[in-house]
Amino acid sequence: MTGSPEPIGSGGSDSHPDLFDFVSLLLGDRARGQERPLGDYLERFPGHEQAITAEFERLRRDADDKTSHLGPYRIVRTLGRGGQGVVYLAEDARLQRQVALKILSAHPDFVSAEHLARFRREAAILSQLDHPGICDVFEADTVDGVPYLAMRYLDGQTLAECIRRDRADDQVPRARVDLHRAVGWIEAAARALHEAHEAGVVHRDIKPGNILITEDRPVLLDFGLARTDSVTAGDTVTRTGTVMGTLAYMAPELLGSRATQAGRRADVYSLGVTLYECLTHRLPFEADSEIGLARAIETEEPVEPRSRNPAIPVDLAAVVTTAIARAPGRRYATALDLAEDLARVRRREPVRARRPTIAARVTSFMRRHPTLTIGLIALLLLTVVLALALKRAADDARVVLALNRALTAGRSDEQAAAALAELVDAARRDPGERLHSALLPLLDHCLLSYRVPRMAPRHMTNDPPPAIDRDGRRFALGDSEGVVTLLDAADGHELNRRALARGALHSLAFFGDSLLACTGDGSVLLLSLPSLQPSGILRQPGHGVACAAVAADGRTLVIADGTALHLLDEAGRSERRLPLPDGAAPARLQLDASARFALVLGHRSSDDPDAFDQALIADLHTDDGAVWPIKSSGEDVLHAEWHGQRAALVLAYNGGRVEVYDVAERRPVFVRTVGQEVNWCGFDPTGDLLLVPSDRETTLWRWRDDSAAPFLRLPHTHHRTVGAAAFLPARELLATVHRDGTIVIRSTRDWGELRTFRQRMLNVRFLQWLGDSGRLLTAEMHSVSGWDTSGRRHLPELFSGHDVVTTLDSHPSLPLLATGSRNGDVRLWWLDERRPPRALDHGDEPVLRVCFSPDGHLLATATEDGRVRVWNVEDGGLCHVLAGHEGAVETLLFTGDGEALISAGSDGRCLVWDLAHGTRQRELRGDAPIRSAALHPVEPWLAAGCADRWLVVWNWRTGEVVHRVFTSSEHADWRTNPIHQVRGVCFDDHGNLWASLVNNYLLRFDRDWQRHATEDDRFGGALVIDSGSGLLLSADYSFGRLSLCNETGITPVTVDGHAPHDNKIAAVHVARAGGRALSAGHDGRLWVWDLDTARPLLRLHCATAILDAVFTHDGAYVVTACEDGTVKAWPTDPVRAAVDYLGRRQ
Amino acid sequence: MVDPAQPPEPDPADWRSPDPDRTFVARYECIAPALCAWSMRHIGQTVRARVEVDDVMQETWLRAYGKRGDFRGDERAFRAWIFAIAKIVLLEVVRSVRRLHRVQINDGATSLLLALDGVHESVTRLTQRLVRDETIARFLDRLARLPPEDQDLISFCGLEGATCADAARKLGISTDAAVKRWQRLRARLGEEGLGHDWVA
Repeated sequence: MTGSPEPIGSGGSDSHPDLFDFVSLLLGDRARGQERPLGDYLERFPGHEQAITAEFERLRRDADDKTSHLGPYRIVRTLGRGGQGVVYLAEDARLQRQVALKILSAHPDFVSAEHLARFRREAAILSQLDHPGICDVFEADTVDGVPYLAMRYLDGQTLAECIRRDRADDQVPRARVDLHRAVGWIEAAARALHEAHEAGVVHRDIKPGNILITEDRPVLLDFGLARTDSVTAGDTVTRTGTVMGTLAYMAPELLGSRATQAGRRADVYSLGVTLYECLTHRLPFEADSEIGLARAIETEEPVEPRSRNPAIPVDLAAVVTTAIARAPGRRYATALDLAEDLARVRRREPVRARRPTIAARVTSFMRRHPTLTIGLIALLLLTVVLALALKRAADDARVVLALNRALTAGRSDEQAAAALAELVDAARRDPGERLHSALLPLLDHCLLSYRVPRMAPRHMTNDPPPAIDRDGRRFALGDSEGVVTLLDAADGHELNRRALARGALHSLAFFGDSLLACTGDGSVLLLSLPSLQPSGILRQPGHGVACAAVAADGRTLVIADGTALHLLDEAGRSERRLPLPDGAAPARLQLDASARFALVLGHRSSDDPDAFDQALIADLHTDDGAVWPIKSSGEDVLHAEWHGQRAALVLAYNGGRVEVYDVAERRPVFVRTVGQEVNWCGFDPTGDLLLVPSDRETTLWRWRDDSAAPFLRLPHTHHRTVGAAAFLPARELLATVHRDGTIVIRSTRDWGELRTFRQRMLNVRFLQWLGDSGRLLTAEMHSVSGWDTSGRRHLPELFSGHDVVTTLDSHPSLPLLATGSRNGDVRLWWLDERRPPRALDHGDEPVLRVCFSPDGHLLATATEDGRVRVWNVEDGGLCHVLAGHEGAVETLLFTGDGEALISAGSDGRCLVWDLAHGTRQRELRGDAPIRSAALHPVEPWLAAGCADRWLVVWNWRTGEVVHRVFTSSEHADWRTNPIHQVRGVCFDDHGNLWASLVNNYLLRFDRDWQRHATEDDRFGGALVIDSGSGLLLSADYSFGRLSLCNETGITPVTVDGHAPHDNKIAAVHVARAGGRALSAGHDGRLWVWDLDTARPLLRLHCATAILDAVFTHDGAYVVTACEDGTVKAWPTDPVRAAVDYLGRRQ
Repeated sequence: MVDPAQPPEPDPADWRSPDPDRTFVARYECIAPALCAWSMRHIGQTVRARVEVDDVMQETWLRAYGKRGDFRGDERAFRAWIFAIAKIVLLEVVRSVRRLHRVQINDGATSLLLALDGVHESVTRLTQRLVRDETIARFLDRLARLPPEDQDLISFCGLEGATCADAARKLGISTDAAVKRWQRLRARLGEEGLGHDWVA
């Protein structure tokens, strides 16, 4: 060190700063009883070996001089050293007795006043105490400034030495005697400690080293840190907050920032730790450092003593645990209490200490193992979350399983309804997308169909076809066991059942108002309805009755036996008998609509119950010569159907021959062979057309014209040949069931498919409408099923298979939808199916836009060739064809008063049309294609956003330009740089004009045409305004992002922080009632949004891109048009729809 | 604006300053609290019966002031230099007290050992103020509650300004251990409001 001082003063070369450090450290070590060898110090202070050696010797000499004799005492040997001093064995020369001489420090130079005062206090305290367990004091004095304390010398070992010895021998006390010996020592020490406490003395340093085990008893030593109750605040010996004692045995309340003064319970704690160590040879808290140890004592719970020495009795462990409880209040109040409980342990009596409760032990464990506890809690939470997730997944799986069963396995309506109810509950608990998605098809299924599985045995091929009453409310089934079942046509509910015990039933027919005629076993039996009680036997068994039929009026029953036909009235009286020719083998009777003629189909040699080799016509009004054969081919007849109005019928032969037989002319008048098997053929309700389905198509023939080619071909897009079909004239519907189980509902107006659904059915050979209700009954090989097609408004799919619908609009007040397709097809669809859809005669140009007028009376359509047509919605008549555009028309706007229609197109022009006269009223010319346009809510203003970045506002009445603004700072050619095009325009109710630009700008022009621009990548696409809330829903150009805007700000519309669509948003639409909006995208997603919260209400997913979507007039449905050509109506609240359905069921 | 009539204030950090006396005093005043605390810690009851803390401090000042012209070094070296002097003073005091103790001389020792006439009055006032300073008392009180090894480490590094390596050698521990313990102790003192500016 530069400037290091030379030796200063009189010390010469042995006066060096390091010498002072050496002396200081040596005396400190010696005071703590940790004096080191000289070499150790020499290593620490190199370069001063000679001086340090000399100083070391001098200090040792001083110590020896001082300790060999002290006053009247001759030091014999050192008994022990402690922080407060050294205890020597000494002889009192005056009384010739051995004493334990405690000297505070051998080097009074470094004795602090504090230590000196404590030493004197110990002497004073010990002199006050008189107990065999506390060491006696003979004398306390000072010699040459060295304070000492002469005490009774007791021969023995400290408890610490005993423990150390046993530990070295690895002898943890396990035998009861060893345990009881330790218990006895601590019990005695506790009683001595209690004596001191009673005298107002707190020891404050109880530990094994301060308990001397003599032959007689343990004795408490070292009251050097003891405190008396008389200590005052000004006492400098034990200042408040000063930590005294040995850390490992120190009570928790003495540590830390909130440490308190040591009291009795602190001594009890120390004694408890001593007992713990005696029993386990370990401390309750162990740590690598004093800081760690203090923290453990202060914050953790002690390790259970029995976990370290299982031999410890439970009661003794409870005593130990109580003595070392962390909270002072849970410890023994006095050392005597501890002693008494230890005595009870020795006597094997119940102790007062109680084992900690489970809660206390759990708490203790948590405190001792915080990390493990946190881990366990986290694991528990994870397990709970997983369990809940698994349960939810299981619930979902169960519901979906039930759904699948219901949908695919032909199960009962009840099962489907039960699954539906379960799904509704689940959807109410958690209205998630998945459940909503699952609900829709199940709802569809439940509304669509029911099946009748109750028949025993199940419906078989040989069973008679079902019989349906005239109004379609009931139907009857019979089986080969002679069991007749009456069922409700509404839902297939069984009304009654009766076993006739007459063998197999051959046919069933409702007769009159309350009878059911059954044939079988050659007999005819009448059953009363609805009880099915027999009311009469028209023919006894064995009379050879083969079949029966009831006239359309229900009043005449015709039965056939092997010899004749018999006409019977309701009372069973025979009205007429018509003999059959020899060899007749009637198997089926079919009466024409007037009940004059009967077709008798028979099996003369054929074994196939569905193929007839005999066909006869019987004139029921003529007595003689009234029965004649009509077969014109050697093939079997597979199907025959009477004309609805005329005396004619169509026969389908095996091999594909179809003929129409005119009864009046007694000859076939129309014969065609289609080359494929025809299982069914029939006349349309008008009777003009003959339907002949084959495998790939259904052909319609104008049979009266005898034309060579069919009038219409209806290709079977997905289905196989028709097994059965039935018309419902009242609703202009045709139902066909195909061999693959597909049921197709067609309109007889245009023969378009209205509805297609597929079920797993085999060999369907019967299909009939149940009255005019719109319900169908089918019979297949194993079951009879009912189908409710009248619930269309609940069905998502309106139609499919046509060309792609590209534009939609919903009627403002009626459940009516307008669609426009790529092939020029424009249709009006009644969503409740009260009326069939209407096809408008539109042409072949692709339709770009359809738009209802505000009052709903008119429909405007725009096509790619620039023509605009206006239609009368009520009758579908064409009002005007408006030609004037030179390019595609993309925008149609009806003015608020309904007087004018504005069309805007790619030719850059807006044309105002007078709807009263169908003439052009005004031409508003722009310079570039108009991408979007909007009308002002009050003023006669039209705003148009152009591809060249100009935003123009006209007065459409006068043609004046109200405002014109260039929306971009760049003047690049819009044809080559379309980035700044105006894509969306709309006015809000305050008159603000909003425009979105492809370059992600949203512009707002207030009423003073002040421009407010916001740049955000959520802009650039369509805009739509919710008039009620004034909120603007803005789509971006191509990334599927949405936002809600108004004058005050912008709210991103996201789902879990992500854009709701993955691709371009094709349509945004606001429900007419307001508050809700939809967005539909090319990603197939459709969202319904709550505009108040910007949260989704419903999410649907279509298989292909959605091209357009609108709300229906009441907002109950969302209609989507997808790229696959389907148009679907989705209930916006499927849960509610399902609940409605379930309510109706009950 | 510097008044040209007034000599510039000497820079205490510049030992080449034209007024070494004022620089020395300024330097000493900076470390005097540490010296006082150090002295209080090392003077035991028996020694204090003969020598007071302020005696040791003033003796130290006097010797240092007399040798001030020989000192060359920075602030850290100044602290070490002063404490070296103080250690020698205290070593001599301890030895003398020990001798006196042995020969049972009970007279006051100050006059025999120390000649304090040359101590400036300002230094005396400073010393007397420090001896009564409660912040030093609190510091020592907290120090006394630490383990002896920590007390020694604070004395070496915090009061004397010794390096951790030097302290480690004297305490018989590794330098790494000394560095870590000292950093921990210094942080703890700081948290308890005892990280005074006179602690190195």
